[in-house]
Amino acid sequence: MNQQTSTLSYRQGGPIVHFDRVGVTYGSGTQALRDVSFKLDSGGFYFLTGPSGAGKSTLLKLMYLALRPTQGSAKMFGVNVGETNRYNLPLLRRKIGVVFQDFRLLPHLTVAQNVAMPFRVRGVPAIDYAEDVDDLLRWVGLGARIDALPETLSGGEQQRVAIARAVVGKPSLLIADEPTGNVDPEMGARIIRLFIELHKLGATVLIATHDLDLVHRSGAPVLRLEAGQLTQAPGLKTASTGRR
Amino acid sequence: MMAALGRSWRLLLSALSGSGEAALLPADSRQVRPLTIVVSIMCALGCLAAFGAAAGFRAADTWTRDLKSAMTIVVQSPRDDASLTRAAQIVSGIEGVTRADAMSRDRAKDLLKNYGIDMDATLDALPAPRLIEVGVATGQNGVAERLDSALKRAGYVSFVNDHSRFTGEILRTSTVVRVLALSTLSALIIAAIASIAFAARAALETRREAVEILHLVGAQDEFVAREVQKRFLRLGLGAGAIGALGAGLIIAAGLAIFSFGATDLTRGAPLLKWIDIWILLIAPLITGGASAWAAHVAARATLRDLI
Repeated sequence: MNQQTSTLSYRQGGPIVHFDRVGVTYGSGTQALRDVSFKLDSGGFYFLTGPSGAGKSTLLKLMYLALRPTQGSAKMFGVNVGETNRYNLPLLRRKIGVVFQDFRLLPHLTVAQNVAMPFRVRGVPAIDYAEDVDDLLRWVGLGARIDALPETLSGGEQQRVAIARAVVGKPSLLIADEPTGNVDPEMGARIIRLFIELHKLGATVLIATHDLDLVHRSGAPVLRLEAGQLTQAPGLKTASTGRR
Repeated sequence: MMAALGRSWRLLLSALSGSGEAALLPADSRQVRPLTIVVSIMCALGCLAAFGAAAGFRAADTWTRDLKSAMTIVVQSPRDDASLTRAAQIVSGIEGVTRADAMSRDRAKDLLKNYGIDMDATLDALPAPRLIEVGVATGQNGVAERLDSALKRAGYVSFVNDHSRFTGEILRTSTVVRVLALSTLSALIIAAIASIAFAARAALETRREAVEILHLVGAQDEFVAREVQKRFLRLGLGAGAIGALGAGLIIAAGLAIFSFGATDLTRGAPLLKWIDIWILLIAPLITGGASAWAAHVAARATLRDLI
C-alpha cells in the first residue's frame, strides 16, 4: 500500500497534490515519513488522521510548503516542490490556505490586520480587500472584535481568526490542522460548513483531525498515518481505486 | 537607472509617510534605542570627519594657491628705500607679475614680532635684507627666473623666493589630511553599515516566527526584505538627523570658541563656510540610504536560511 499511489478522490479532477514515495528525515536522523504516496484530486474533500507522532504535522508541512521532502517526489499543483526555487515557492503558497493548530497569529496586529495579511503580502491595496475582510469576520462571529489584538481573544476566537486568514484569499487548497479543536460544537459545525462552502466553490480541502465522529459523518476519504507511513484507514479504499 | 531612482523615491516616501497600515515586522524597542544611539554617534562623527575633509581640502587649496600666487624677493643690496622702490618698479614690469610692493622696514619688523621677538634695536643694528612682495598671475610659469635675471641686469644682488620649498610640504601635509579625513569617513560609514546589517539579521531572528508566517501566506523574500528595509530606512533617517544636529552643534560651538579668541593670524581665511551646511543636510539621507541598503542585503541573506 505504502509504495503504491492511493487516489483519494472525493470528486473527480486532476491531482492537486501528488506525492510519490515521499520521505522526510530530519537532521537528527529521525525519519518522520517513509514512502508516502498519494494523490489529492482538485476539488476533493479529505481528512487526515492518525495518532500523535504519526507524522501528520510533517505531512502537512510538506503540503503547505514549509518543508521539502528528503526522499521521493512531492508535486503541488503539478510543480515538484523539491526542485522549486525560492521565487516560485510563495506563488504556490498563495494557492494554499492553512489553519494552524496553534493559530500562528501575529500578536501586534489586530484581528482584521491578521486576516488581511495574505492580501498585503501580495500588494493588494487595502481598499480592495477591506470589505471582504469585514464580511468574513462578521461571518465567523468576530464582527465586534475587528480591532482587537489576538492576546485579548479566547482560544476559539483566535482559531476563527486563523480560519478567516486561511480562507480570505479563496485558496485552491485549504489545509486545516484540528480546526474544530478549540471551539464549541456549534462553532465547530459552522466552521465545517464554511469548509464545505469553500469546497463547493472548487477548493480542495484537507482537514487533519482526531475527531473520528466528524470523519465518519462526512463520509469523505481519509488519509491515515501511522509511524510515518500512510496506511489504509477505515472507510478508505485501497490503492488507485478512489472512493466517492 | 530611472526605475531604481523611482523605487528609492517611493521607498523613502513610504518610509516617511507610512502606508497607514501596521508594520508587519515591527521594531523591537529594546533594539531600536541603542542602535539609534550608535548610528547617531557614527553619523555625528562622520559629519565631523566630512567637515574635517572639507576644511582640509579648502586649507590645502588655499595654502597652495596663496603660495603659488606670491613670491618674495630678498634684496641684499642696495638696501636704501629709494633703490628698493626702483627694484619694485622693475619687478612690476615683468610678465606675469600682478603687483610688486616694496616692504617697509617697519613692516618687516612687524613680521618678526609675530614670533614674539621684539627686535627693534637688533634690526636697526643689523644689515637686514629688504623685501619685495610680488603677486603672480595664475598659471604663469618661469616668473621667478625672469625676476632674477631682470634684477641681476639692473645690478641688484637679490634672491627670489618662489615658496616652492613650502609648496611641496603643504601638498604632502594636505594630502595626508585629506586621506586621513576620507579614511575616517569611510571607516565610519563601513562601521555603520556593519552595525545595521548585524541589527537587521538580529531583527529577523527575533521575528523569525512572524517571518515564517509571512512566508506561509505567500510573501516573497523581497517583500519581507522591503519590510525590514523600510524600518531601517526610518531608523537611519532619524538617527542621521540626530547625528547631523549633534555635529552641527559641535561645529557651531567650536567655531564660536575659535572666533572668540581668534587673532588676525588665526582668523585668516575661514576653513569652513556656510556652503558646508550641505554636509549636515545630506547626512541623514546618506545614513538612511546606507541603513536601508545594508538592511536589505542582510535581510535577503538571512531569509535564504529560512523556510
